[in-house]
Amino acid sequence: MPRAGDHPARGTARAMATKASGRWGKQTGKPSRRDHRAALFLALPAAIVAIGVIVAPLFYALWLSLHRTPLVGGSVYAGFSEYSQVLHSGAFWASIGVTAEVAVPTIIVELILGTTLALLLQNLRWAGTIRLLLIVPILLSPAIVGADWSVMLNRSTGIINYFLGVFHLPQESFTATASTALPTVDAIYAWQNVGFTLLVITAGLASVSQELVDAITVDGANYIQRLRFLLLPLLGPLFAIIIFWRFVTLVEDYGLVGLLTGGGPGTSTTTATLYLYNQLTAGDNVGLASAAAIIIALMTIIVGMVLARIALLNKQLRERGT
Amino acid sequence: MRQPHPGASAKIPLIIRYAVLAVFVVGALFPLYWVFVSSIKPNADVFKTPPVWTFSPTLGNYRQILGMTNSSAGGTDFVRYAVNSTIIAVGTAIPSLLLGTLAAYGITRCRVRWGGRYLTAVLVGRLVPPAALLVPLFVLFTTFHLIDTQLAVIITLMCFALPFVVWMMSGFFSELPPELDEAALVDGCSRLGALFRVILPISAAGLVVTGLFVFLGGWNEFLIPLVLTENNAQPIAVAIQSYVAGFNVQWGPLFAASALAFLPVIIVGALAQRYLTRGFTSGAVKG
Repeated sequence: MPRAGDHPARGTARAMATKASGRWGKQTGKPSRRDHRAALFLALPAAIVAIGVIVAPLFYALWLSLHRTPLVGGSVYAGFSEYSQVLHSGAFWASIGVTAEVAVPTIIVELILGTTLALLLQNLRWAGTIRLLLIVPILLSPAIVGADWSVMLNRSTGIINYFLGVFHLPQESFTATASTALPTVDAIYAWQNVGFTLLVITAGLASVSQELVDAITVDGANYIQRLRFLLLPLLGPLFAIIIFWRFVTLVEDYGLVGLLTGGGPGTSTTTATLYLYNQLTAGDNVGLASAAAIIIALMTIIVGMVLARIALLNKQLRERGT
Repeated sequence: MRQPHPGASAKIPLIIRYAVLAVFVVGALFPLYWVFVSSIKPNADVFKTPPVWTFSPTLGNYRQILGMTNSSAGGTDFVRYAVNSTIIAVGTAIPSLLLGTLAAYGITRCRVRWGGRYLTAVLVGRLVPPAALLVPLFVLFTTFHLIDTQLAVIITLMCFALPFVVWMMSGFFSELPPELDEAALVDGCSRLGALFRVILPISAAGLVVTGLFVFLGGWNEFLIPLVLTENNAQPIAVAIQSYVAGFNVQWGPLFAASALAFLPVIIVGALAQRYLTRGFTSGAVKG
């Protein structure tokens, strides 16, 4: 029988927030029937709710995607024709591309800035207060943040362009031009969420044991070497977790980009979620919209599971290595 | 958090560290300062360029959105939106914390072998983008006559919050030594008794962080209430649209409404701040 501690998904759960002290290893005993019943009883309500509101609607969407539903009359089975139509649509692939162009640079910038800030804050007298100030944006509603920034980034009346003018920098149209809209969206996402990386990395740094640091320092490592060979490797699993959660929340966000650019100009900032929403509200072909929904859901699940696996793998490798 | 942190510190002079941090603090907070200042500017000054730095502050925008003036049609039902946001945020947080914690306890502390598979399933459920379920959810809630009620939004958000709660809480629970609940069980506690009397009190920090994020998610959610509510159950985050819709952007009211929507979450965040770092701390790093 495999040890409980070897279970892959449990490993991931622990990677979320546990010390690798092998406590699971102690629980080698077979679960008693009483335990089994208790666990079932405890885990069931959450499962039922989730099945009712996520799984059942998902199957309904699947059914819809296999049918053509005209405005009048009943729906007709259409096989996978809607799927092939989505997969041959330029707008669909463009939205997937935009999603990647939002997610990848944003998450990289957040990781670099958030980690730098966490390191800068180490051992500072006012660290707690400064950290609180820095994380305020993550508390706010992305939709309202998007609306406010759209005003502040206005070509002629926005405060940001006023400052650019003060410093004799060229003024920008930001959200009004296709070439600048996407980087602007990325920047605002990063502005709002850099605090998340800061929080998680701060927590991670705080739990690195002082003995390890002392040991490597005694061995003559300077700061860069301590960072390179001790801290960053130890923080690895946290980076993986941050990437995972940020991917999930970025991909499904509608509010920030919706109210900042509305997906425009043109479709230059139409992410997969905006594309889906547009398809659904256009309302002329529910089957097509549902097929797109199923395809995007599948893609998200696959990428998400790969990212979760990396978070888990990272953890297991390190456990074995040390 | 005053003990020296490991790995510190680079030989970067303090003054430079503070200077860099100051730049980031200004960057993080200036937009909020601007939102607030603009919200108390007289209408004529709001969109002047160069901006007016001195002006006589007015609460006109707040009066307008709170419906305290009858001068304009812009007087909206902001109070109702705020109540809706509160009901949705609290209504989502409490049941998802309860159900999620029970599930997390069951699969991490009862030594069942399907715990891992349960967690994976929960994770996959979380990965389904809400946008993919909009049509089915709309149909579902129409069938039950729940469109434009807070309940519809709460039920939906709860489902997307549950996986998060289960994952966070199982992380915290699996850290605790198994002897804890064994002792409680020997002493005659039921499983639930062990959870509520022994395990939960020591996981309080984790519970606070998890609860905070679910609360924020509910207060800030846009897409789900956009689709499932019309006017009656609309929260602030959705109502904010009406100030920027079309060509008639109502700057003053937009900023005042933003400030009022930001205030509660900033207060809650500040109150929970010491748990924020500790809640995530619970380990993840070996060494």
